[in-house]
Amino acid sequence: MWGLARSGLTESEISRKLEVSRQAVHIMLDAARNKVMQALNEAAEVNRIQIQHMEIEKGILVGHSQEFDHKVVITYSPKNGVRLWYAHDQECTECKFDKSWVKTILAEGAERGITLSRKELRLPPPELAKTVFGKILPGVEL
Amino acid sequence: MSRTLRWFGKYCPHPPNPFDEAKSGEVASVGVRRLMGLALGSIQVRPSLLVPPLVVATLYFLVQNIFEIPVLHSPNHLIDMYLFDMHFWPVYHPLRVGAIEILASVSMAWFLMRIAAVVVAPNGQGRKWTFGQLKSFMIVAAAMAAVSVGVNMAVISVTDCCIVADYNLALKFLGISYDSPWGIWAQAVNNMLASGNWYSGSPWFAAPDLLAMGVSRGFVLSSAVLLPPFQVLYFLTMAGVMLESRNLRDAFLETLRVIRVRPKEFVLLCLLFIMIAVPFESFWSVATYIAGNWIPWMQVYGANSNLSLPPLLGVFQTLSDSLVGAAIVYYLRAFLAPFLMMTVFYHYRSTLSQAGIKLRGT
Repeated sequence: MWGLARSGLTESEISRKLEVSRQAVHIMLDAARNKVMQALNEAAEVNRIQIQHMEIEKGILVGHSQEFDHKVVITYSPKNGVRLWYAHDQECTECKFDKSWVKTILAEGAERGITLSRKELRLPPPELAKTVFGKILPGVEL
Repeated sequence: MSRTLRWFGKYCPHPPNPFDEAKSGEVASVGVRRLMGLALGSIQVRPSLLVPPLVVATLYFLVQNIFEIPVLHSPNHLIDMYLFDMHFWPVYHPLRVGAIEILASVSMAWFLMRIAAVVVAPNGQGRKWTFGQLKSFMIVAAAMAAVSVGVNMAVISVTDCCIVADYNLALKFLGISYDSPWGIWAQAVNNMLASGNWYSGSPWFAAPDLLAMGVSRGFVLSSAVLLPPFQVLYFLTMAGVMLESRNLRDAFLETLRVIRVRPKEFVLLCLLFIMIAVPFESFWSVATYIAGNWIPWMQVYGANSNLSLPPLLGVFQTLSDSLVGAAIVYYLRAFLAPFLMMTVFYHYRSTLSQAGIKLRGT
């Protein structure tokens, strides 16, 4: 249901599609929104992240890590759960050894209906992540 | 420019490493003690955890040398060993080396287990081992120790038997006395080359003998030198298997990633380690034998040990040669060298890269 709402369907359209009442859809989506908001807020609080921008429907939060003095993006998706993404202004040493997270960022983009061109898909993984976040949150400073 | 206003061009799930962001020169100014602290800190190992393996190994060296002193320093000890104790030496020596290997494996397993207990999982969170995982890891460690002990003991048994047999054969064949100038000189050269028991000056005999002994000695050296880095590899790989339950290749790559060493770098480090360890061991044994054979006042340890030393000097040399020297060699090659090289290399690499120095092959 959360996925359908994120894909742009209205509550009425979801209720027809799932053959449940609109009130039930409303209640369940409301509960889901609260859960997502709670998850994002808790992740921010635990990691000492000052919230700058949050979009519950997209399951994404942009903040500033007081610990690292870096920007941080927190994402939530039913598939990947809560994930933290740290901004880097230079090459990340860990990324030289670990690129296993590329599938995760692609899945995060796909779940939010983001399409990437071939040129974008060939970007180095950290820049690809920035591109995905830029498409999820157009106009938001990252 | 303020750090909060700078442009962030990249995002990834790895938290920024303040160490990587240090300005050029900052890291280089860090003292050795601080560097050790950082190296241990990066793998979340408290310095106090180094104590148990050090204590175990030190105790072993004390026991080993107490046992060895009367054998090596009996009058004419080489004659004792090779002639009268020839049946004893091939048994005693492999057992001694086997004990070293067991203790090395146990202390290494302990040390690496502590590392693996807090090894960083892909989600960036530390992970504690369950009792079942620890039990499995110890079984694997014991199995690996048994394999390494078996290989080393087998190699050394064979080469010791060759040495004794060859020496005995050569003695019968040529009938050269130990006290003759040829015997003394040839043994000194032989020992210096660390190649077995070539003691004849005759070229027609020396060539095949040197070749055979050189090969056998090479096996001993290579097995002793090559084993520790691969033991580290085994243990880390097994730790990876336990942690991630994936296949060996993935586990190996994962464990290398955890210790922040690329596969190519691991190979380079092993080669570098061998390049350091082999000359070091060779130099140590050569220096000992030269001193024992050619410096009159140190002829307590050499082939021609008819000359005796004052007891105090003999004890001093024994301690410096066997205990301290063996401890240095042992620790250098057994587990400190490959491990510390990896960690220190990682930390210095960030400094080097920031200083614009690119390491070849990495």
